[in-house]
Amino acid sequence: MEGGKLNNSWLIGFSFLVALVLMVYPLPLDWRWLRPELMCLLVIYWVLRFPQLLGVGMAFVLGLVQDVVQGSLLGQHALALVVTIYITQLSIHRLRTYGTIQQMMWIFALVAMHELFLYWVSMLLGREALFAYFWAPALISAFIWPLLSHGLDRLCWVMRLGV
Amino acid sequence: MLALIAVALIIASRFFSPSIEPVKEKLDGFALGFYWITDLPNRFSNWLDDSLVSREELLEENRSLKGERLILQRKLQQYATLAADNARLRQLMNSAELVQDRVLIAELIGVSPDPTEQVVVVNKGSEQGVFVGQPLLDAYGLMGQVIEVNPYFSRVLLITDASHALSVQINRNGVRAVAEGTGDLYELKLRHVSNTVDVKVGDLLVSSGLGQRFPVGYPVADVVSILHDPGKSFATVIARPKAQLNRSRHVLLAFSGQRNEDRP
Repeated sequence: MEGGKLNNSWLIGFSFLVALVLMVYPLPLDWRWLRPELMCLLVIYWVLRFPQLLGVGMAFVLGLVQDVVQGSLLGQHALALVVTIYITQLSIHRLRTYGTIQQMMWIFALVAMHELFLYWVSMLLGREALFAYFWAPALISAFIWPLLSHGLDRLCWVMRLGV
Repeated sequence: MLALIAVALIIASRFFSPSIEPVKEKLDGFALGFYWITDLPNRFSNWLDDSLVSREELLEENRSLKGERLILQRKLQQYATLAADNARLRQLMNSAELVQDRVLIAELIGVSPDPTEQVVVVNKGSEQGVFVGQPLLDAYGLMGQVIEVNPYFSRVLLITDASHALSVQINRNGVRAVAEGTGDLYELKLRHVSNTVDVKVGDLLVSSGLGQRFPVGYPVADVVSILHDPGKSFATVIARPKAQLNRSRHVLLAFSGQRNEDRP
């Protein structure tokens, strides 16, 4: 495992690019609550799959990129992602042995925390946080998770992505 | 790991200093690529609409447009005399003349992904002379003001954002008020309207030009409900924005007369 090279590692980078495009894809202003936190889910997935390759540092960089693309305060998503990934790493063994439903519940908790950090930062900016809905993206993300993880498992298998 | 969190926080606070502005501008060029990609489906469908139209449809459209033009021209004739009248009256009263606004046509290319803020992205930037604070309109009324300018695109805060407020007046009698956003796309709230003020459901609110941000006389909202609560010192007045904040794709950036003088 040490120093192992991935066969098709560009796939990971490409998946992040796709996620970024989907994150800024314009939705009607009323429907933005329903957008899953794809970037967060993807980072969690790749960290679970290749914990030796991706870690908190990568999450930080990706968070910064997301900040730039979304035009949010520089560091906002970086902070949220770093905390989320840190906790993912702590619970990595547990998360891997879970069944689908349990995984979804755990993902809900992780993404909800991610959202919470985003709101804390935007509240520091003096923006009014609409707290009643903050769990909505987390819920959607939890439902997306089985689809995403099985789809990506399949993709990895087809592309022989592995160490 | 905790150190990284600290770094993130430091960067967040550093954001307030102007020293990283140029860096941010460069990075925003990178962000523009993403908005360009997300806009592709839209442009593709527009292109399809344009190129796959039958002859009958074009003729039909042409006819209706001609009819519309005739009606608008008739209105314009009246407008010319009214404008002349208005100018004369203003001269009589020795007051400042209303200046015709110059506008720049822009297109909406993105919407901020953060659901707590109501910010949209338009495809005109400082290269085209857009400046921070510039008002944005659509065909129906005021939409918002520019808050961030990059060379090729800019971000606009909508009037319904919870952190936005503008001064308006009732078109019928000229009573002034402050309309602030609520975070709800279809709602503006009038601040500090006392219970005795003459305001009715259906009143048109237009921008008053106080605050030197927005030009005078653009429609902003319609009053939809007024609640007089004897326990409160002010009435609760709710208005609905005239601009189609959720639908307009073609928008106008206005250069008001006063600004033009500062900017040669």
